[in-house]
Amino acid sequence: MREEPYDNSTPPTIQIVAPILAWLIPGLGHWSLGYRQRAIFIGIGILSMYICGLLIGSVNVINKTDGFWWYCGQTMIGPATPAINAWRASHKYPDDPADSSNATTYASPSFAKVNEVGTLYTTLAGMLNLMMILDVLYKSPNSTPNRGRRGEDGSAA
Amino acid sequence: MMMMIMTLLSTFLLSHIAVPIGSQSAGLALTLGYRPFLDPLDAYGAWFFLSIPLVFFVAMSYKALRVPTMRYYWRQVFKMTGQIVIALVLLSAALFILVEVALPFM
Repeated sequence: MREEPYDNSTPPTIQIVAPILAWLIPGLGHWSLGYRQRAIFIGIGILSMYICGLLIGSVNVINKTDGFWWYCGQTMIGPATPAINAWRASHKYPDDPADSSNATTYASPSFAKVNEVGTLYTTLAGMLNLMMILDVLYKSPNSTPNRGRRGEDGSAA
Repeated sequence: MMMMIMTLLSTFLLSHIAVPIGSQSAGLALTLGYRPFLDPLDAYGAWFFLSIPLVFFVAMSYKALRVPTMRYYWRQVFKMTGQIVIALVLLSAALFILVEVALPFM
């Protein structure tokens, strides 16, 4: 594993693109600044947490109407949250799920602890991503030549 | 006193762990129809074990941000995971003793 220390050779500057990229896909902000190994672990950690939350509590853990403040935290993960909320709102649980004429895919409601744990997973993932967004907001890019497998000058890492 | 705590702890473990394991036939019916992302996971009886992967992912993301170099990254991740899990267990035990043992005598 490469050590990839933070680059303090240049003073940190306010970044514009990196925070937007970090919001779009967790870890992409650090990747764009050259901290690629950190970006991979950030992305895997946050996205795994978010996906596990959806697997545990179903997409019903994202609910703008019934859990607005949780939803605010969940939106920090990126545009996936508003998209899931819109899909869930347009696929309501039917009055009679056994009715075979109802061919629309819908999400079963989750209750109690499973819903709470799923909500906690997704909101914590959003909060962690907010931390990553704030981190890349004021940071100096990694100017060391070995940014990836091949450095900026084309040399192998 | 010690016997009372042990009895309460064993009652708690039996009711929260042994019963969900024993009711697998009921859970199986739900598991067979499980649709990922559309149905909630049938983990109502053992939801507290779900805190362990949560803690691991938090440590993984947080340490990727905080460690000065990535040399001892995984060691730091597992150390932080262990610390949080142990703290959770100790806090739970303390609260359990407070609510079930200490408060009834007050």
